[in-house]
Amino acid sequence: MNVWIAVVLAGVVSYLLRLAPVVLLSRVESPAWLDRAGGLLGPVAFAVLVAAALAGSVGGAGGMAPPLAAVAVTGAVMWLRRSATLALVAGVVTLWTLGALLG
Amino acid sequence: MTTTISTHRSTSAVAPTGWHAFAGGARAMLPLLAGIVPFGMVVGVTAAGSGMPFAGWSTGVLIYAGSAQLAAIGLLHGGASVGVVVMTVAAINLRLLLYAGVLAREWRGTSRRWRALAAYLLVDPSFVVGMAGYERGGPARPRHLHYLGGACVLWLAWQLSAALGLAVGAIVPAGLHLEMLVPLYLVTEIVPKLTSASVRVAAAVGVVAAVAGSVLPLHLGLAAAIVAGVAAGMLRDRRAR
Repeated sequence: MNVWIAVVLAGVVSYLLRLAPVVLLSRVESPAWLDRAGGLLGPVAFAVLVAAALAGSVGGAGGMAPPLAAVAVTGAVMWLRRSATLALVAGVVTLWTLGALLG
Repeated sequence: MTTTISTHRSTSAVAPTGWHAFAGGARAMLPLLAGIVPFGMVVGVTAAGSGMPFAGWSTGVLIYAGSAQLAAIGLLHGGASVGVVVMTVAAINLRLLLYAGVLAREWRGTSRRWRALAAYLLVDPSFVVGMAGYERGGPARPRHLHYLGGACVLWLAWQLSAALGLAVGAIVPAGLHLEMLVPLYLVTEIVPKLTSASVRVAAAVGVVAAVAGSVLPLHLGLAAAIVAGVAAGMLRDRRAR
């Protein structure tokens, strides 16, 4: 019973975290600083998630080198060629090749 | 899934673009699914091994955020109290508050039903795909449908992959490291935005803070790093003016 109470309550809290700003900011004009922060949030959140994924890969097979190199190669190819598909393929090939060599 | 989207900005939007916008969002989500589906299966496998398979799987519908689900299942399996589970999930999902704060601007003027549904579907990948659509500009309605298309495909894939994990266990070789596909995809989203100095500063500070904050419990480092990065970017922006 406690399991279900915990799961349902955790679900309610998760939903409130998603919904509260949407409801509150629909009634009041959002402050100017929030509009400025909005332009930065996407890239920062993505960069943080990438860094967290890399930090979490420490201790994996082949260590941190394959994922770190894969991120670097993906970034470099994206910067130079502006093709997400090409960048992803280059990153994955790097990840698997280095993983096989170092794993 | 059908829903009514009424918005002040969408009065000029025309219906024929609706399906294309929805399909465009769904298509934009597909590359991310290659990394998300194995993660969903891991959640299913974990739920199966926890001795409470259905409750574990239902976290996908109720909590709908992978890392928070894994933490909740692990804690419940270990006999943690209701309070600890709820607090942990809340801490891990704090970043959703920030995402919702940003998307609230885009959803202002939409119907309550739309906002209730859109907020429920909000999680990292739907934020990524949704923001890409909103940043392109144009009439509001197709952009909302772009978000909805990506978010619905993600929700469906997440529930199905967790169910598959529950049913058949881990069949994807761990050596493929498919979980890295999502970070690699995010890199392709970040790079085109690095043309602005304030974005570069914000991202760099966010990365350093995320690595430093990875030692913090309950994934609190994630939300802290995002706040630190955004603050640094805004400071850089202010100085440049």
